[in-house]
Amino acid sequence: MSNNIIEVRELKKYYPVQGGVFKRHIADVKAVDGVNLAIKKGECLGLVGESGCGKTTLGKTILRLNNATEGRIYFNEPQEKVEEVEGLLSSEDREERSRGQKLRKKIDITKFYGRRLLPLRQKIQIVFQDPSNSLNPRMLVKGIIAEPLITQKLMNAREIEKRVIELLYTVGMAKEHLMRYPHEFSGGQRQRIAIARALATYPEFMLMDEPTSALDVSVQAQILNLLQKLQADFQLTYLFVTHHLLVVKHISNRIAVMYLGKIMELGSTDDIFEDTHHPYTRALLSAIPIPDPETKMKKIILTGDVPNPVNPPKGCRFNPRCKYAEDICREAEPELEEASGNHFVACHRWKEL
Amino acid sequence: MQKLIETRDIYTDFFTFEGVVKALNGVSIIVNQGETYGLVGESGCGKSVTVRSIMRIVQSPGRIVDGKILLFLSLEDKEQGIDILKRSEAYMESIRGNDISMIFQEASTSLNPVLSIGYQVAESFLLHRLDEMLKETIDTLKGEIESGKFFIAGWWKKFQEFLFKAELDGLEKYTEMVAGIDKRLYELEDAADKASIDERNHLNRKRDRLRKTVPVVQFVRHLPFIKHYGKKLHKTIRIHVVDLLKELGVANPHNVVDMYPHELSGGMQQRIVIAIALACHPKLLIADEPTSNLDVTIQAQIIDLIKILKNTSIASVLFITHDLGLVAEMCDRVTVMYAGDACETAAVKDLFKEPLHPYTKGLLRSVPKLKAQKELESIPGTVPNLIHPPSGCRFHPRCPHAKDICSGDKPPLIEYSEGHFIACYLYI
Ligand SMILES: Nc1ncnc2c1ncn2[C@@H]1O[C@H](COP(=O)(O)OP(=O)(O)OP(=O)(O)O)[C@@H](O)[C@H]1O
Ligand SMILES: Nc1ncnc2c1ncn2[C@@H]1O[C@H](COP(=O)(O)OP(=O)(O)OP(=O)(O)O)[C@@H](O)[C@H]1O
Ligand code: SF4
Ligand SMILES: [Mg+2]
Ligand SMILES: [Mg+2]
Repeated sequence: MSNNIIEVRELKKYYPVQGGVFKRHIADVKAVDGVNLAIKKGECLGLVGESGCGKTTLGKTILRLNNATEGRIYFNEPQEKVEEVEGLLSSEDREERSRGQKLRKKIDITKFYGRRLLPLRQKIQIVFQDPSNSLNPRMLVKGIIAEPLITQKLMNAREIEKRVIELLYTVGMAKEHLMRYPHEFSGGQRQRIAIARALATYPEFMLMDEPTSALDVSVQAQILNLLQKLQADFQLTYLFVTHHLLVVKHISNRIAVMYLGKIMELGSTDDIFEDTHHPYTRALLSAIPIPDPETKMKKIILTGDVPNPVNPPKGCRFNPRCKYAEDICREAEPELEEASGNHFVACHRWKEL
Repeated sequence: MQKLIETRDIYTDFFTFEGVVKALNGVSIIVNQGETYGLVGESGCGKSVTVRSIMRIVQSPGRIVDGKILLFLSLEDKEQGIDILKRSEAYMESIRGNDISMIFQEASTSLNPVLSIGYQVAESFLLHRLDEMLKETIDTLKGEIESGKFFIAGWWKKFQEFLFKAELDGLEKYTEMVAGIDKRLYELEDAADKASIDERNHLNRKRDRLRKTVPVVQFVRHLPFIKHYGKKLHKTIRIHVVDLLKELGVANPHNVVDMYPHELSGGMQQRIVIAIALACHPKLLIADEPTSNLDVTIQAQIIDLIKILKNTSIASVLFITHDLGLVAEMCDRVTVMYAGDACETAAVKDLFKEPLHPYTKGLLRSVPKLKAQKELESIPGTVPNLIHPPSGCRFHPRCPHAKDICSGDKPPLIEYSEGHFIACYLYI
């Protein structure tokens, strides 16, 4: 079995909601609410789901740009060690639990602060959803892409310059763009600069938050091909967040479907597309726009109010909008169970559908 | 069909430090009344600059150096159209939002980070649909007065009603006066003699000076306590804001109106920007990649909403997107752009069935398919440098069918079959 590069256990991230005159803490936005996820080395895991369901939050928490509210994240730890800690933590015995806590402090990155995070920051890179916010408007493109290389202190100035130009070409831009500021580019060009910067330090794990949504299909194809090549050459691992289902289908090995802070279905790309179990995944797949004006697919339009992450529905989170919902769905929350080999689904009724 | 807006050979340049970026190279498009018009093309090809030119909000150091942008808003100027490049900035300001409104590409940059969501959407109602809102507030007040249980509060309510009526009157008078001035300005547009020019300048200045509010209301707005009468109006608007957000599928709209942009997810921010644009009820809605951050189900919902609004309050939509699936589903006609050129224009069906331009063909081939494929096809080569753009057809260095003639002059736009325009030497 190949090693997991990232292992997430029962991760939760709540944002406080403040209200009233004194800005008291009145409730929580449960953006990520108990997620278990393992990402294998060298794979590309696609993460899809409704807008606002917590995909970006999950990614940011894994990168430690957010502090997790609860849960554990292991980065590049051997499987046995993780299992040992998890076993200790869930044991009945109080002493064993405290021993587990001690061990966990050493390897759980949610417990890392300050300098201990520095090595992580090199190995994990992110491409943000909105490139205009993540590029420093006062820096030239050259400086932006070189920045991670400079902090790394492994190359001299000439090598850095060479690498920067090489990176620009890999994302389909050219040398004359070096001396410009981010606002002088179109949306898609800015996105490509962000991708170039993320690739600069040869990371091991990349979080791509909608990296291609601002690109036209031809450049998108170039970038996707590039990412696949990097994956094959350097065993790069991706967590690929996107709304574009055809893209996710093309690039991912496995897909996780998220709804309201929880994983609803997880399986290989073929399983998800050919052997769909969860009603939400079905609705999602039916709404893909097909680039052909003559075929009109029958869309499953979700009815009902969009759920509120401050106070998610009782039972299955999808039940108010699910047309198969029964009494049990309104009462008990379904667990993520294995439907067939490595295909997991959280639904009470998947067998009958 | 009745035209709504037409651009004739616009050239927009950016005068940067390294040289002139020739972003638009004579773009001509026509958006008809009641039509959804798609604009697709490589990233960086000038789609956003085209629509910014239409709104006359090209960022500096950019400038529209040549061309005409004609607007056919009212019935009188049906034939000729108003050339907005000749009009004053005040005129443009009255057009933006009221007649043309725009959803900008990067949602988070078009929201103000220090103002609450509710405030930002409400502003759109206040600026562009104030009369409706005032009427509605007056109606609710009337209803409350008639149900009349209160004694003292009743007087206060009547006073409020009076003030709102005064505001409404002032607004109506203002609109009328502005319309009069605009009409006169339009007549004077092409005049060249001194008297007319003086009159034109005078009118332009007068238009800028006109005030929307009547003196009574202005005075009351400065009185302590009494100035709070305006809250009633804000309550009315808030109801509309919450409804609109709900229609756009925003979860929990009652709380979201009090949040700030950084507390929302990417897709929610994008929907707020859509809400701001839709609240104006414009004649032409320009949507620059409005749904790129939204999942397909919400995307479908918003597209439906735009379709419904198109039958009621919006006339035409100019839609920029990279998602060819969406284009196929939504648009009536499409223009494909490449490096500042509008290279092909056709009805959606024709474009997908029979693409002519080599670039269009490449674009359609690059779409990821539902069937599994090993490697995606893409168009080889890189995007041209627009400071020294390729001569002739700007696509020729990457074109598999390029002939000698292609690098000579710019290919003319010809009508290949009915309604199918193409600029390529293969078809001449
Ligand atoms: N800083 C914050 N403070 C409060 N709430 C927040 C904050 N950031 C995100 N949220 C909330 O957390 C939820 C999940 O947000 P997140 O950005 O993770 O969504 P997402 O899945 O990335 O959606 P999208 O596809 O639209 O980008 C949303 O309801 C959002 O309002
Ligand atoms: N302020 C500026 N200074 C210099 N060049 C600019 C400026 N703004 C835009 N450009 C150039 O103009 C060209 C067209 O940009 P535009 O934003 O219209 O592209 P676009 O078609 O909207 O692309 P995208 O799909 O990526 O948003 C680009 O090549 C860009 O580099
Ligand atoms: S558990 Fe019930 S409500 Fe939830 S998705 Fe399955 S059938 Fe629908
Ligand atoms: Mg996001
Ligand atoms: Mg753009």
